[in-house]
Amino acid sequence: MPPRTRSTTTTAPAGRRPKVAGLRAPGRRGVTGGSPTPADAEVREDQDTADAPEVTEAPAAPAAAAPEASRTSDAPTGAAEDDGAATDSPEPPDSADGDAPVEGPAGTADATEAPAARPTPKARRTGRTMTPSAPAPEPVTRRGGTALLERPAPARATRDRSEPARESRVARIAAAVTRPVAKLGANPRRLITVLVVVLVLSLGLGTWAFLAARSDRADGTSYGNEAVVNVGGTAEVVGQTRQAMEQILSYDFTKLDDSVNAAKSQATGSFASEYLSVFEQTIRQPATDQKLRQTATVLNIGVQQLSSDHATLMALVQFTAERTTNGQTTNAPGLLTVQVVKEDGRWKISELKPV
Amino acid sequence: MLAFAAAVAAGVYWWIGSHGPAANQAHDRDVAVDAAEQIVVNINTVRPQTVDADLQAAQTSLTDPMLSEYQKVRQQFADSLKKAQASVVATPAGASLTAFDDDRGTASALVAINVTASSANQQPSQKQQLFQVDMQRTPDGWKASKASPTAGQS
Repeated sequence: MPPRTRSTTTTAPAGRRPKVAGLRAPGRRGVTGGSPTPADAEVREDQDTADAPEVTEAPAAPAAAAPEASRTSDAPTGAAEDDGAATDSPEPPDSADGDAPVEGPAGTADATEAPAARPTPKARRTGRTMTPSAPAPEPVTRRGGTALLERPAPARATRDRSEPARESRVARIAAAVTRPVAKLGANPRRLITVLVVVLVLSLGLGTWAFLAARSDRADGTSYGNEAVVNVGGTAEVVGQTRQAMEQILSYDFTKLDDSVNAAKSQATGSFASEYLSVFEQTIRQPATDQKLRQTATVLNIGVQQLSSDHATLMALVQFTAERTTNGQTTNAPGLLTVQVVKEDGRWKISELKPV
Repeated sequence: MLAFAAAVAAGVYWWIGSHGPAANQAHDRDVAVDAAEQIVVNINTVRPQTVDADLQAAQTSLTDPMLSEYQKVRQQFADSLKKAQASVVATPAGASLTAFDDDRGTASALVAINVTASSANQQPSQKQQLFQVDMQRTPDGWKASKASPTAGQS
């Protein structure tokens, strides 16, 4: 029903008049019957704004006036009787009695002449009995007639006035919601501006939230640290770090290359290269000569920090060195802070130092 | 619309990250780690001027069964400390949880401390000590039910 809504806006000032007219309606009803002209004139004025040409038509005027008069008086009357007049569809009886019949004869009256002015009320009366069939033809005739413009206006006015109930409240809320949207729709440039602003805001806020979440998770804040909280991840990093430490820090003079290989596969970066060079320079020869065996056992290990690809652990390691030539053993505990990074799907030691 | 949906999704992502259950657990874990460190410091710190207060601080860090054991020896402990004019000051060196059950309110931690000890007839010496602590969450926060020194480096 877009035309109607539009018409309401245009007839907004006109709409006010019928409201007043509506108040006068009872009196006018009588008037209308006698002399349609005054009512006519009033209505006309309203219409003028909307449909100038028709009004100027002098001969047509009375003819048109007749039905119109009936219609206008109608609407308010209907309103006075029952505000439903305007609502058409929800309350067919009223609107029917008010309009439908009128329109029918009015349409013809239109064609005929002034006398129609008098039949109208009659028609109206008869119309009441015709109730059921009324709603259907209504819109058609209305659309065709000039009445279209003034119709909704009084209708609304009456509705607002006499129906303070839900409907008007709902309507008001609906209007409050739809009006800005409708306004925007009417102004494409503003609509585009608003959409662009919304778009930019969405992208901006979205990006910010995403990046904030990413960096939070990466490290720093407590919830970026998955240590212990992520049970599976914690178990994995603990298990692999424990294994790496024990294999790298243990050595046996009969298979020194095992330790070298362990360091190569389970350590990384500068720690790996440093450890390997230290191993070759200070361990390999003495270990071979003295038939040394060292066993590193991780007694206890805890994760301090854990993210997807980096973790910090604290490990208590028991070093047991055994000189196999004389069976002499020495124990030395060590508390170490271990940095591990995930490379190729495995946690590798990247740094090892005493706490 | 798509941008709006993306923004909402990112917002949810961020919100879950910073306010979700995992974040709460992470927060509880941090509280537990800090508590473990504080507990070990408390039970390893005694200054001659504040012996009673320090021992009281140590006691409030404990819960049973360690609490009752501690109460049994506390007086004797205090007397010997006063007599020796012993000073033991611990500072945290590192801590990490080795077990954590947020729901049951239990946690175990490995805590390293640097201890500076001295007494009337002993020069100040520094050493590192390591404690394994079992904790329980009480209405007053985390408390140690067991704390045992393990061999540390000197």
